[in-house]
Amino acid sequence: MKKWLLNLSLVLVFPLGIALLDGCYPNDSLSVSETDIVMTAHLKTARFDTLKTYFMSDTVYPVRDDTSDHSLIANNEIIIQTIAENMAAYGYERVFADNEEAPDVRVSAAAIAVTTVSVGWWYPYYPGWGWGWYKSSRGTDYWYPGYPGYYPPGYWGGVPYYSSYTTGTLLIEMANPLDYEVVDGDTVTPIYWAGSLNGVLSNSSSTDASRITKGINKAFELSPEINTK
Amino acid sequence: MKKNKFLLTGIFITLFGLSSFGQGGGIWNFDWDMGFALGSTKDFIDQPSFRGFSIEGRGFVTDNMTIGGQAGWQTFYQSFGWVTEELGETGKIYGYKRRYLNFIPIMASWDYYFMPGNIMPYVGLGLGTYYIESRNFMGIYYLEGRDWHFGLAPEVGVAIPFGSGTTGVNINFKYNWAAATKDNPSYSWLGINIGLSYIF
Repeated sequence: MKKWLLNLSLVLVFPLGIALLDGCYPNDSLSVSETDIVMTAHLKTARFDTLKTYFMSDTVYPVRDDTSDHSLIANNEIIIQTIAENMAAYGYERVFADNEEAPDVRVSAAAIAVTTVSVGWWYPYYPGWGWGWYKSSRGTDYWYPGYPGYYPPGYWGGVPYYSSYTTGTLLIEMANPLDYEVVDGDTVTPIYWAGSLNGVLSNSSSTDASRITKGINKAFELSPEINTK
Repeated sequence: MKKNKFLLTGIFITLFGLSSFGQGGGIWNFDWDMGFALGSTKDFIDQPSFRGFSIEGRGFVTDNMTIGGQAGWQTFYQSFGWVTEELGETGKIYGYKRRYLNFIPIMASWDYYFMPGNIMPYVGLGLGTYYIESRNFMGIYYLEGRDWHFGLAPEVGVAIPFGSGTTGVNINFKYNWAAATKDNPSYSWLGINIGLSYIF
């Protein structure tokens, strides 16, 4: 009788123990790639089928806490190359700074490595964010200081996804600096398309490379609207 | 000195409470709780939960009636894998989606025991609050809701003592209902709870 009671107690205590050890968020130990997120959004009024050429700097702009650090991020080349491949597949022709005519749109990539990631991480406004950061190495045709990129309301949904983690974010944006408007007294260029992925600046650059390629490909795959073909 | 007074008063009230409990007799229940989501809670997570427990103390105020209190914890979890979702007007988000619900009920309870013989079937009602934390994850990012909800929990159960002893098995079915709050929805689930009763 007593032994039976003891056994029953064990049977009951065992799942309780598991529940306690597991905590409030069981199965939350994700693999590195399972933490990846890809987000895209496009401007409803943009006529992507009329776009043909684009300019993209060879540099992924690093947004760091240490603003004096201008060194390239680890996977700079892979990022630029993968974006270029996807743009070509969607029918865009890449032009460079020595091109006679101004490109239809500019595509820029920024890697955000700041450590303060808090509520509203996805809310698409970074103070100081602007086209002036993407100065062409050759001419000034593509240099539009003071024209910050502008996301129309409802672009991302303003979703307060948040986290206490710090991760690298890669933000790819397409805009035409000549197509600007005035919002609340500021001259801004609406972002035609934006894609972003997180988790691209971990300590392992070899792991990052495959995640970056996958992430960028996914961003374009999620956005058939920007295909000009 | 003032602190001591509070402490002594606290100890006195606790002892007094326990002694009055002891005089009329009572029951301690230690249960392993399983949860099955219902209604809109099921739309959020339709996997059953096997992660839960509760502790409940009941004191007899008449030969058949008890009043008492209970506290517990129940965790629901579901993984949806890799999904793409719409976001805002033209936005899309792609990520590894999981959802969690954590319920912590803290309730006063009233129960009526039928005493036909050795076994003790009962019906009862819990009244109190559920602390509920919901998380909707994409990767490591999540939308969170957390609130104290008003709650009701009617139950039917049976305590079956081992032989003529003071220890027994307790089995009960409890309908848990948490009212909606300003920011968070109503939740409901069926609890099937199995454990031990210590009758004193």
